[in-house]
Amino acid sequence: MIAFTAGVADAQVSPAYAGEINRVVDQRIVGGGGADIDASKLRTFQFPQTMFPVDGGKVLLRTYEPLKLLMDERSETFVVEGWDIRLRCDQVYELPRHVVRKFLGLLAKANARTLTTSDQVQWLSILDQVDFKQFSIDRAMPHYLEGTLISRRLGQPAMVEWADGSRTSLHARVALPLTPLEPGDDFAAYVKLGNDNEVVSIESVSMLAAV
Amino acid sequence: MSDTAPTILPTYAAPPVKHRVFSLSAVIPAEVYYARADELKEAMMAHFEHYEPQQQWLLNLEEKNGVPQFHSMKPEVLIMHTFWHKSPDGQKLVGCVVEPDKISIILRSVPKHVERFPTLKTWSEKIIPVWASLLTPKISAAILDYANILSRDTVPTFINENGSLAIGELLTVFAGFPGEHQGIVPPYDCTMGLAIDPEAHIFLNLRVRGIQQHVSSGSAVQVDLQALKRPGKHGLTAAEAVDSLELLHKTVVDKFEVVFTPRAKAAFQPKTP
Repeated sequence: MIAFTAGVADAQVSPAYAGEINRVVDQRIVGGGGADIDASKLRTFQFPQTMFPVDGGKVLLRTYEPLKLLMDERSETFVVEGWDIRLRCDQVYELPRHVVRKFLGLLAKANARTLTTSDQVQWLSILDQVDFKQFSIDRAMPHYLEGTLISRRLGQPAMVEWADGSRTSLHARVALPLTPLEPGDDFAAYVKLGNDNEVVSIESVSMLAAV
Repeated sequence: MSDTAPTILPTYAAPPVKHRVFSLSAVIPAEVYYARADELKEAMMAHFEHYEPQQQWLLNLEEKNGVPQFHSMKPEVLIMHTFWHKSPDGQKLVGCVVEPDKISIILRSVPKHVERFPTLKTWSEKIIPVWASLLTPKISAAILDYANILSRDTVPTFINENGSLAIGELLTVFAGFPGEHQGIVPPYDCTMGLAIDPEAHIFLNLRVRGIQQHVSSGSAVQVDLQALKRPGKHGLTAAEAVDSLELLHKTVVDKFEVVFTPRAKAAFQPKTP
């Protein structure tokens, strides 16, 4: 394996112990150009990180595949395939921030219906690469709901009947905020929903009967 | 293992230690690591003044029959978040490298700033709990690594007339090589593992290898002494890993005494206890 290291190579951790990647720092091999290898492969790198923190890490923007970075040796820059992001190679550590910035910028324009024609092409390309459904669920504001606690035992799922008459079994961990309630108590709460309207979290519980 | 009473080992005024590193390898779910990455950076900057990320552009080539070919792994870019505490004259003294599956606390040996193991221990006790509280890692190994450099700068009296290093006079494992030969020459790359105390899950890796960076100033050899503690049946918490530092240090020091020849140790300037 050949690596180019930017930063402080003289302070690298010694790689000898088991499980460590054997990182060899040797720039001469690429400079020589004598090997019979496909040059295009030398310019395309994967960025292994597929989760990008949004809102200080409260939400993650997930890509289905690692991003592809296409390097241009002359300008010492790279572009991210399908994202219209160009950075200097030595600024690659800034890429997660730029990915989120690009995504949020286009999302804001899409919500405001102000995407230009080229923005639309860009946005569709990005939507093909990210799990937008999961992002939307994770980032959705909690819903105000009213319901009645039907049953709850410590360590067991709790049963709740919502105001629309539907019943939901809540995982014991999710139902923790309902601990002060007893079966039959009416309550209101802010409820975060996940895939298939599954209750992910409950907060700000108040008792309706006490009002 | 020795069953004799413990002896007081000498310390040295000029040991060839280039850096001391205490690392914890760990399993951390990617969701947790990336969700807390920014928070971790902020927390680290409360202890270190400088953030200098390192990056590696890995081509992942391998050689088959003398021909370089692409490995099945695609070329990739790795980022290591690196934080430094520097001396007033700008030299990197204590560092911390954070990777998705590892943290390393680095103590560098630099001229005019002679810091030793107690400094590494103090920083480890301060930084690792911060990392562990944010990422709740499952520790897979605690490693104390002493990298020793043998070169014209550290052992000038062991340089032959032709500029080569008299490695057979420095390292006991090379000194008694059987058979007849005129000398020992590069390449050097030897690794071995020692089971120090398997019941306590303590091991030691010894690696001797030639290093290219010092070619301009003659040949040089790096001798790594790495003491490891692996988890037992009940795992290993970050706090337990930090508590094992003294034991790992003793392991390294014990082996330092037997890996280097008496003549080499005299060159390191032993101090009387």
